[in-house]
Amino acid sequence: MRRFLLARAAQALAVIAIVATFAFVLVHLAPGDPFTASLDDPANTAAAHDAQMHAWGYDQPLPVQYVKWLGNLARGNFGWSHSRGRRVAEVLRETVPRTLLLTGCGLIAGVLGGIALGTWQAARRGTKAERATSAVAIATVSVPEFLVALAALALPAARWHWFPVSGIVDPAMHDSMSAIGRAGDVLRHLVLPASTLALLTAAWVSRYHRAAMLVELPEEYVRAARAKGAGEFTAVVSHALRNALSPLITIVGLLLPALFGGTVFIETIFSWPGVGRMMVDAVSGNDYPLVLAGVIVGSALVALGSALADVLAQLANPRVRIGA
Amino acid sequence: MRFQPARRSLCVIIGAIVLITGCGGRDAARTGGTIVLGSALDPKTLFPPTADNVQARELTDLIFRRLADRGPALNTLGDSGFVPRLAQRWEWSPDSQRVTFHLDPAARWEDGQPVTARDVKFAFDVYADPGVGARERTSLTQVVDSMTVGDPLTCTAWFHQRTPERFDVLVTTLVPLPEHLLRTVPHDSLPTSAFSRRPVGDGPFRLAAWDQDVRLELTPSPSYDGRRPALDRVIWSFVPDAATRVKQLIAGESDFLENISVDDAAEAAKQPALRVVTLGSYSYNFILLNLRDGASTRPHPLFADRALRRALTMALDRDLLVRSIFGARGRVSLGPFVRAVWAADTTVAQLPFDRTGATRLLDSLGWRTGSDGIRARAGRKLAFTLLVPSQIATRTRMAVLIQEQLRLAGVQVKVEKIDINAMIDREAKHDFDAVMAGLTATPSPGGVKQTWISSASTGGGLNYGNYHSAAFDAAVDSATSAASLTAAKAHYRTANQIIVNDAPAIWLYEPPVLAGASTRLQIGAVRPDAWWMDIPSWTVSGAKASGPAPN
Repeated sequence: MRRFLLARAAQALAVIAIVATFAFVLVHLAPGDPFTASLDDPANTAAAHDAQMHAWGYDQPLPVQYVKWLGNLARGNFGWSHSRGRRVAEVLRETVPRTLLLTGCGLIAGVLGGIALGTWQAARRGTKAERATSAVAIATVSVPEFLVALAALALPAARWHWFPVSGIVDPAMHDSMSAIGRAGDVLRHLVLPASTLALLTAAWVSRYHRAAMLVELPEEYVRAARAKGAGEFTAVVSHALRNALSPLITIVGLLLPALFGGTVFIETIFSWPGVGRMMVDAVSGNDYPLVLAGVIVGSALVALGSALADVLAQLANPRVRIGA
Repeated sequence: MRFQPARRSLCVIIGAIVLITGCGGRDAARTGGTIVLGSALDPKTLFPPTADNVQARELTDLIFRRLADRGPALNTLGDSGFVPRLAQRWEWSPDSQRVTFHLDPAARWEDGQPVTARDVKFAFDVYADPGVGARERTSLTQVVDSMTVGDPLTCTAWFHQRTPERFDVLVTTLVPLPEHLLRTVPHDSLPTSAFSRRPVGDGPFRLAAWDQDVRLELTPSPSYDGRRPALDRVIWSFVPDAATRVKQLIAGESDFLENISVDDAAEAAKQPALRVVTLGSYSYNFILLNLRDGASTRPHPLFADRALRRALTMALDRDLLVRSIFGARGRVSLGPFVRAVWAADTTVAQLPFDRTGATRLLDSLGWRTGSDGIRARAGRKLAFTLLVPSQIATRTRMAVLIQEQLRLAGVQVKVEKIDINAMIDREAKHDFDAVMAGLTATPSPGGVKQTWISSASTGGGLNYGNYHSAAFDAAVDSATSAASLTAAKAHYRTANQIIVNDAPAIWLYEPPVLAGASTRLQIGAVRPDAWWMDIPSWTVSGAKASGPAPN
């Protein structure tokens, strides 16, 4: 296991380095620069724009900028965010935990819900209810994330006022709340974005898990369990479900990049101040250091999720020997 | 003593009357309350010299004070109508080459230290230092040579020349900074210093909290010597998605939202708890035509021809275009002098919509209609690419209408939607045929020097279309150096007429700037160039009535 973890860490580092290098080249080749907007400002001048470019070293050849960037990165210095007027590390310290909270809640709720739905669908195969829920799941998977998010906004938030429309806290009341009240405030704001993410994840997971369960349910060990007098619930949940989980864990690992991408839409629409929204702002403002830091964080989270999925797959099924 | 029932009732009535009249009879001001303003973005910084987005300007204007401010008429010539802010008064030298400001002795920074003339000089030195990257360094240093300190409450600005708008440039650009807190910080580190996120100002509000991407809160500054703002808290709630911001307003989660679209304004107007407020507009939008062939010095094969440019303008029904997009709220642009600027003249003769005249003009220029309905001359089609920023819906919608109207005149327009940063980049490199552009003018009409005169096509100006007209340049020069308002207006009128006749751009519209506001919010008059400057006088219904606020 130790060798496996070291190998995965080395692999992850290589992936992150390649992705970050590609991103570095691409963001610098994209039209505009961090100070482009000043070129459309009558109060500014192109000379002032050029002075800013020089002051920050963006007028140097790309290889020189790349080496400097790598040197800073090696010292843990992600640079200065031009769009937010502060150090990139400070921005990440605020945004990454918020995204982890959102994706974590969405992922856990979505996976658990998807497993429950997939298991139930497999056990009720061929019934009208199973066909109806399968159709809903397929429709949900087919709809773009932002449409689901907009639908969630339109009714429960904007029309019925069950939940706040946007943000992470009540801007006026949060500071005057007790500690419990503040936690509740964050949870209230979390419900819609996390539910949207969970709904999309659950629909996706349920499709895979239903298929895996349909493979396991006719197996002899399940029939043997029934023959020994185990009830239907025990046979399905205690016996078939555990074996059906192995492939799902790998799939959930692969789901992480998609989930990370999906948060970009959800964070933007619900104004959840996480990495996704930060990336949208950074890309639209050509904030090179912030874009690159976001890419590094994103690829690191994906690599971490993938490694975690491998470890969990082994724990769920001892026959899998990932370190071998 | 026992009251009779009738007498008791009488006393109650009299008591109530006394109470009511007592409360209403005094110079009562409603104080207290919290309002939430919806906003797209955080300010990039709260360091005034580098505050370059709208949110940063809104906030620094409330946290800091300038020496003086434009008055209600928004005059920018001389010092007529300007109102004292940090400076209680000022006096000119006999030769008008310098002006001496006498600062308010009661003015204090948020930390209790007095605001002195050294703070004003320190600020000027910071603005003038190229290493700081102050947004308006060039305009300030072109006008003001230096700043000297007389005594702790007296400072003098020395001007390079006696330009009519020198006072306006000085007082609207320079924001005094606390020298005692910043003198040890190298100038080039100031924009990234802690002060840029935790400023200490001398204005009516102080920064109470700033949670990036979430909220920013201002509260009345206890050290402010002027009238205390009526509100207890003003909170900016940052929501990047425009549709979500509107939903937030409609759901009652915010009280005020600026820059809503005409469609959203119609939706807001239907809500009983909301009303629509019209803010002042200094923006104007136009199709910028490149008079040169890309970045080369060769004339553009189409737009170098003045008559062709005029024909294109005449082929467009701009009234219809504006009504189609903005309904009754939009107005056709008059040229680079927007209506809100004192130099605007609505009597300038505009090129009329005359499709027959336009086609006749194009015929006379040798552009003949081909079998495909598109005009051509010497093997070249009358066709061009129009760049449109994909993020701005009004421009993309209008581009399609323009494409159709010009097609009817035999002109083929290829609409190319492009990211706004990429578009600005191509504009700056002069790499375009035509672009759906927009600019925000300043209350000073002299701003056209940065955008439309010949010298602004090189060396850092915004004349990306390479418009060159000696007559226009001369008229603007005369206007900016005119000593009287009447003379300046006459010269600006001439300049406006020249540029309209030359048609280096097709002047399209002045977009309406609308805001949605909660009906509980009492706003009063809105200053056209900076609505946020009136926030200290805003109140909310339900706030407690009190006597005059302490000074």
